Amino acid sequence: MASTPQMSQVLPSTTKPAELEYGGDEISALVLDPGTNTTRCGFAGEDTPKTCVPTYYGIIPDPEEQKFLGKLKIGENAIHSVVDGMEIRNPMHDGIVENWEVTTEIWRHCIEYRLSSRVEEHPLLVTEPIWNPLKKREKTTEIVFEDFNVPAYFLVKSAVCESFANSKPSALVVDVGHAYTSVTPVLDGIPLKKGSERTPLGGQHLNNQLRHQFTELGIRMAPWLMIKTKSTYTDLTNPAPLRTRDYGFEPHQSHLELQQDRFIHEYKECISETWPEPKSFPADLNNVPENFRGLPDKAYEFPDGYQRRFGLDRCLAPESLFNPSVAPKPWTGETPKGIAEMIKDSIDHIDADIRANMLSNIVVVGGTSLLYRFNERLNQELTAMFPGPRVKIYSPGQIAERKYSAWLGGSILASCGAFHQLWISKQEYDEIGANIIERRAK
Amino acid sequence: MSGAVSDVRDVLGIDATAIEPRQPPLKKQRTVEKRPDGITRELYALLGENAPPVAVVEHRFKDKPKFLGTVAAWKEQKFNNPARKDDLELSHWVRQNPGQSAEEEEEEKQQMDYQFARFNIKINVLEYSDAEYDAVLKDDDWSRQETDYLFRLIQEYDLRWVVIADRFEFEGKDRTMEDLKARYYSVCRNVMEMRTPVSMMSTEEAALYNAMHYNKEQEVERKRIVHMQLYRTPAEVEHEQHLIAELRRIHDSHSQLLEEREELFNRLDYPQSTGSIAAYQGSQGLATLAQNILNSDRNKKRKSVAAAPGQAAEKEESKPAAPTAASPTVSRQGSIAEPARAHAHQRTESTASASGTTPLKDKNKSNIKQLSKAEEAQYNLSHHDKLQPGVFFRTMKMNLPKANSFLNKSPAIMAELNIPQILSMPTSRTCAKYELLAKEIAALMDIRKQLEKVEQETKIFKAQEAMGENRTKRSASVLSDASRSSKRPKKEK
Ligand SMILES: Nc1ncnc2c1ncn2[C@@H]1O[C@H](COP(=O)(O)OP(=O)(O)O)[C@@H](O)[C@H]1O
Repeated sequence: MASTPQMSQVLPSTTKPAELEYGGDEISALVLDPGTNTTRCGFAGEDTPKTCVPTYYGIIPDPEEQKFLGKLKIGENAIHSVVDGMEIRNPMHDGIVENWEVTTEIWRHCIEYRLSSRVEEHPLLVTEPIWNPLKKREKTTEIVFEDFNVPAYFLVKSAVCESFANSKPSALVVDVGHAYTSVTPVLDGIPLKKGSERTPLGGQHLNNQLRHQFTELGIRMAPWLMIKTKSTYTDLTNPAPLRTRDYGFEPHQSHLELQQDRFIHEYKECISETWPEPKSFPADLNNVPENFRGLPDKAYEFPDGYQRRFGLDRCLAPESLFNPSVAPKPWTGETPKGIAEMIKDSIDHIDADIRANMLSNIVVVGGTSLLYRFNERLNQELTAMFPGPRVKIYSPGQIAERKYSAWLGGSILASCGAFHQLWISKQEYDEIGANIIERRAK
Repeated sequence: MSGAVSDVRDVLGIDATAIEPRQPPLKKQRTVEKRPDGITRELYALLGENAPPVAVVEHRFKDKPKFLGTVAAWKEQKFNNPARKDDLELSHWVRQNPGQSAEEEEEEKQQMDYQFARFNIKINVLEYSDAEYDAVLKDDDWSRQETDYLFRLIQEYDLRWVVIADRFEFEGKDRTMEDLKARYYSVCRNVMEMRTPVSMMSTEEAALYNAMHYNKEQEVERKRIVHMQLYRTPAEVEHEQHLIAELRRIHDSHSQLLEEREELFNRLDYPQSTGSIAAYQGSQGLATLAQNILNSDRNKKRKSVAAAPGQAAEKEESKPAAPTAASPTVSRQGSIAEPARAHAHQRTESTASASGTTPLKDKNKSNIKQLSKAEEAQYNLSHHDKLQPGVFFRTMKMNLPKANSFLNKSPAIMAELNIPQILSMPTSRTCAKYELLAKEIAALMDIRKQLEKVEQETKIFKAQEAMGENRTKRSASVLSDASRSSKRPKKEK
């Protein structure tokens, strides 16, 4: 990243950039942004990814079948269909690829099946989290050149892409994704390692918390796929009979959980809400103070027909993002730090001179940041923490931009004329080997 | 609709089959006669059928838009990027120039460098040789390898110190950004000094050499303060904002004060109005200013025009009397305007005396407008010999007779004449009149005194005469007469 093009001058949106100023030069590159929840892929220069494939995959374990000990099921349709013995797994852990064979297949699926493109014809830009270890980066390089045989390739930190997507060369990027939430200071397009932080507080954490919360309440967690007919009821003690579909076999537990995640995701989208003020959320929801100003109830119907009104308890899981100690499901290990605390840690680790600049350029992206009032809460936390300097949060208003910021930034970079000198070519790889990634893309 | 119609029929008891469905009226066929060749449409419309010209609408799709010229072809073209060290060929789409042959294109492609290659900018970082290192750069704390590593990082990250400090990892050494900067700048200074001694450096080099001076302690201290500043408590921030608001208020009122003062000086000293007022901000400055005005007045007196004092009183009067309450301001403005006038006057005079010795002065003269008497009266201008500094009442300056007898007796006379003793409107003209009046009163008093004296004497003489004729008989009456006449002045006293 040594000579990442300088993009310090941001044009006002009303002026048309001059030919060179706009700096675009399409070379029909592909951009791939592998996330824990979904893998996004599309052509550079476009504003949304062409395809968004679940990173979860299904596998029917079969020692006979040679390929990775089973039959792979990749793609939305494949993983959501009910197949005897199919387990759902995720090739990523903590934002980092663990299972390379499957990841390669997913990437290939994205490019060759979804985009109908030939991998070997396009330069490929891949994003990675900042804590991606050298070994994994070399492995990616190897796969990209050996398996995909791409003409040129580059690895960019997703935080850099996210700040570029929000037209900021320098920003404190807060990515609230599925598996983790990360904070990364980016200076002139270069991420600072010492100031970057991450916690497992993300969408997956919320899913687990909600699953726990619902089970505690005694709600039957049967997903849509398993319901044959539903009849509505509101009394948990006297539930309507559960009529399930009979597939002739019992779907695997991991498959059920994935299906549960689908309605939990819906619940997160429409019911969950972040309590807007720091520190004022009641510790005990069964014992809320008399004069406490609550929230209007919202009703939700679970797949099995159970209807319930949620009040303050719909803030509980999101509250645990900021204040992990209130999490409904107890922490197994050490309680992690809240998101605001993490930002403070990050600020403390960077140079004193750029702190004010970072605080006034906080970029918040990622699917989970779409939680209702998430940014409001974050803003309040931060202004309470830093009363002196100006704290300003920039977050794309469009849902697609928020979810696909990393991809969008990659798309901008890969279609930028000044970027084309950075591509690692096949020739360079052949000369130096996988270690070239360490020299060229730091 | 038809349902509704059948309902109505049912209600009315009409059999549906009895009524034949109405045929839709046949569309009128419009026959368009063919217009004979050679007659324009307009002319034809005037003849014959007299049918208005009808636009013929054809039922077909819109025409394809006609573009000017041919559409330029775009071609996927491979290019090399000179900013790259290898010869990776990427391809982008470029617009083809129509009518350009393939060879020409090829040629053009060869000549044109990749347009974005010029963004490949590298900074120049100082390099040192082994000999130089051994001579001046040895340091106990820094090994050669570490120094080399630092310089590599600096080159790589274009002197972005924050990033360099972030990425610096050398044998587990814990280096702060200040350590790195201190080392870099000292290396640079030493090498520069060794190559060209300070005394031999050009100004640019010397400036660079001096700019390379790095004070590590100060920098560490500054960072500490910046850090403290970031973590102020809300109370501190509030206090600080309060202080800033206070400061701004003070600053605002100060500048307002200065403005007002400047305005005052502008009025007082016309010729110097463009100059800075800084000199007059102290009391000493003010005194000098007053002295200057006084001096210029004195100068003026020396060369004074004979008419000046007399005119003054008349001229100021022409302005209709302002309401009483406003009169002090009016008079003050008048007196403030006067020095300015005096200056202007003086200048005219001096130029007049020099009478065209230099054209420049002549020019000056023509610039000054000569006012006619009527105009002077209109603008309420007056000329004075000398003005006392400070504010005073015009009535205090009136030239009244000082004699005790006058002071004692004048009120009675004024009462007798039905004139109020205090001037309700002491404009310069009334004052002048008042002075005149006072003089006349004094004269009147004198005359009355004389008259009395004369009367007294005549009475005495008459009495003596009568005594001669009828001494005994009339003596008593004369005496009583005399006592009566002598009583009058006594009463007046
Ligand atoms: N509107 C929403 N409200 C709450 N959570 C959302 C919303 N949209 C997406 N999410 C959650 O965001 C997560 C995906 O975020 P994303 O940034 O795509 O993660 P990753 O990059 O790790 O794949 C999922 O857990 C999803 O449930």
